Amino acid sequence: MNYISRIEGIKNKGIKTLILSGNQIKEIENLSSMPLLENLELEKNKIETVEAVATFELKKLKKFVVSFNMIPIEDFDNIVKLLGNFPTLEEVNFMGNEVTLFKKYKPRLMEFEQLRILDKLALKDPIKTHYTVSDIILILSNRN
Amino acid sequence: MYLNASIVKEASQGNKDPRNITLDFSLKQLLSLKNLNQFITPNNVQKLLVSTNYLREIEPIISSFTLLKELDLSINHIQKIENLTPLSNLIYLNLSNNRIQYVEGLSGLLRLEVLVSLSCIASKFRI
Repeated sequence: MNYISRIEGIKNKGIKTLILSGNQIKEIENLSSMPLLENLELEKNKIETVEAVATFELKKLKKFVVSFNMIPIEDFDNIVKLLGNFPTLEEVNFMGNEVTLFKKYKPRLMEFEQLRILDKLALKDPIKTHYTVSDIILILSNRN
Repeated sequence: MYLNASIVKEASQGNKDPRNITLDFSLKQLLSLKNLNQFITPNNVQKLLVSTNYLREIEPIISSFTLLKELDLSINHIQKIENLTPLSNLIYLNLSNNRIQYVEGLSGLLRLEVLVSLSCIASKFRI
């Protein structure tokens, strides 16, 4: 059980990778102090929207993981906005969120040419996936 | 278990450059690193891996490893982040799976590029 509930006050400007998976974070906030951030992983938290992410100056962001959070279908437009704002973003993972059930989810996101990996699936070569055994177990348990 | 010459020798196996030493104490059931300076010169250690042990604190001895670039303290019983400020060369820090209540005291780590703080038990996140 983990209890980190907020991202705040990080003053280490050189941080390129921040992994806070498996906590209790509800909002993605205070990322302005990490302008060099390339890899942000927030899997298994309590995030309900990615709206704020697009407002941060993250010109080097390459990988954004928010799988197994609580992002609803209604947040799809914010995901589109996010990918539009970050042309460097090559890999995103929204697996295990309701938003992935939106019928236009995959075809719309595949329109972003910079995207190489969507939900661990390599878009340029769909045969190659990046699923682990634990991913498959989590997906199946969510369906049940 | 506490450190002894045999454990330190095993942890430093494979090092070819005496000025660039990796110490791998992962999975050694260690309770403490207190007497580490009896066996090794801290200034030559760049990578210190202490994952999966029984450390209850980040002991003051850690702060003497001033040239450390990588520190892995994941999967221990650490409750507080402390004694890291002198490690200004640190690039990678892993504090995942501990018992940390406050993430703090990292502002002196000027070169920190990778902060892996998975599964820290913390009611507040303050650095």
